[in-house]
Amino acid sequence: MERDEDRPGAGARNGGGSQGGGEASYVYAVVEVRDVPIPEMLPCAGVIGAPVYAVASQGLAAIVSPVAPEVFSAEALEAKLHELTWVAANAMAHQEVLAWLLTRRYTIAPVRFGTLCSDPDHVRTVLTRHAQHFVQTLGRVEGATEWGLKLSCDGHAVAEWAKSRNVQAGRMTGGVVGMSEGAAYFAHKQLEQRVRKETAHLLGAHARDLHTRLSSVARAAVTHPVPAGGVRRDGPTVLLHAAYLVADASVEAFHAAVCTKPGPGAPPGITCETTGPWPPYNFVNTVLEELG
Amino acid sequence: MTGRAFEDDDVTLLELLDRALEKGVVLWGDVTVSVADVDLIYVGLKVLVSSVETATRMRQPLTASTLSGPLAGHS
Amino acid sequence: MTGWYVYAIIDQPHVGPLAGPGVGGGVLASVPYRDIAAVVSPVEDEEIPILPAHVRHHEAIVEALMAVAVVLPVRFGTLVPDQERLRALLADNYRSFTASLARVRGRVELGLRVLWTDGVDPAPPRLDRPRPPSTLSGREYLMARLGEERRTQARCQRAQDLADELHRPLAELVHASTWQVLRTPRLLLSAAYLVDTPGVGRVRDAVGSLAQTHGQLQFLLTGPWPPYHFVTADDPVAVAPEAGGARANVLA
Repeated sequence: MERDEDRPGAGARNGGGSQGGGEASYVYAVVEVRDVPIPEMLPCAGVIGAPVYAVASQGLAAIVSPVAPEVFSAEALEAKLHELTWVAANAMAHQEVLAWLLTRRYTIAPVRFGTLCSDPDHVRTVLTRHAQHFVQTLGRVEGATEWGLKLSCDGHAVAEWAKSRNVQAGRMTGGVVGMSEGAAYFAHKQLEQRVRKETAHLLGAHARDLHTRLSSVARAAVTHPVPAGGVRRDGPTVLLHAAYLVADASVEAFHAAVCTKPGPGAPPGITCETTGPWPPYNFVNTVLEELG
Repeated sequence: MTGRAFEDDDVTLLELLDRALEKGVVLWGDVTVSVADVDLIYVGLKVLVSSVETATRMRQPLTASTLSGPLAGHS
Repeated sequence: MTGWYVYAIIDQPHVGPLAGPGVGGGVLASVPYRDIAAVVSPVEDEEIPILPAHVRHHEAIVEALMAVAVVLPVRFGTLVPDQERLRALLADNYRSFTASLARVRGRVELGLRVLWTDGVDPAPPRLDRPRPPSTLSGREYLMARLGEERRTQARCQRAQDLADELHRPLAELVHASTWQVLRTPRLLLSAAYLVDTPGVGRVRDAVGSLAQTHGQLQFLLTGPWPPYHFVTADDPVAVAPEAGGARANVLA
């Protein structure tokens, strides 16, 4: 069974926290263990080189590592956040554990990096008490992976393109000659504003169309807020930042939809980055603290 | 509009135009799509700040070589 | 009615009776979302032409709102087709708007332009490279061009140093600032400052002192304005000017 939890007195410990001395459980994920039995100890190294175990209960398992709670205390983390190499190395270790589970086709509810359960027994208690909730959550993400998408554009290139297509722009160059300076100034400003609005609408439509297409192929989709302020002239602008839960059988169709060549009416300078497959970070909406 | 570009007392107008036409909140376009507030599952007492979560997400995605089965070949 | 003309985002879901009419003649109203709102008026036209009268009208309404609420001014000419779209925009940008409203609460914007006519030809430089006249040899032409380049670079460096010198005493008096150096060859500094309302006098006095000690420069301080330059927490850095060698910074 779980080696460390079996040590004498382990059950009596009241959780590490800032008191130290106790051992806490670093949690990577909760998985479903219906068809594929999960080994008690996983053949991968976890965060800070700790061993990785599965704490099983009623068809579920929490994937954990024993760690000294001081290493991951709020204060310690606050300090370590500035050491990006430490963070990166351990974030990768965390991700490797999830990757191991993902490739073995376990249904995973991934847990945020740096999450501890202060009392090793608390892990099993939570699993047992909320088994039904976990099963439901895992059912939603079964047989699917998450894919991230970021759609950006070069504001300058798009503005130039929109201007070149704008009918008034052509008329402007000819018409300005006869105008007074003042009138020309305002005419120019009017045109600038029209072009900017047109550009924003075109880009918005393009982003919306892509998101709609991808959402129809995916099982679920979420979008992340993008900075407000319109299209920037001096750098890339993010148009769409989203995550899609894609069933294994639909992954090819999803990629085909992403790579669809933009139509002849689409603006230039738009880039699309996809990353994945990820464990379904964005599709497990549970706050266990609320569950108690 | 007279033949001159701007009247002298239009310095204020120019200052105003510089602000009202070039700055301020922009609400054009339909760039934002609906946003969902998502919580991640987390247990116990320790919760990490989002910058580390970003570090996790920015890690290289799984490459084809670490996968087997139908997911291999998509990276 | 073809749409809603938007003047500002305010920090209240409702605002008392607003003295209208709005641009285009419609009645002013507020469209709430949680604890913020957009102030709007209905318009018939597809587009509001950019004319001084309209822009002044827009500004008058924004400034009137500042007397009764915290205000994020919206860009002139913003039309939203319907209220659902408007509410969606408020929802999507809620956090950003709330943060920006907090940032500008109790503050106003002051604008500063500093003209520098020292060492610049009265005629503005041509933006295209002059073609070598046939009387100059190729080498003479290149040497002349090189000399010109050096003078321009030296001037840019002096401009940067001067701008830093001007900015230092003001930075202590303001909450945030955004500025550009040498946006045009004679415009040494164009800046916007976010200032606590009671602190406006101190900034005015400080600029006055700078004008005394820098007789070769001309200072134009305007305001108070609604905080047009400070509506987003992550304000984009201003575009680099054509005349080379300049920098723009945002301090918060």
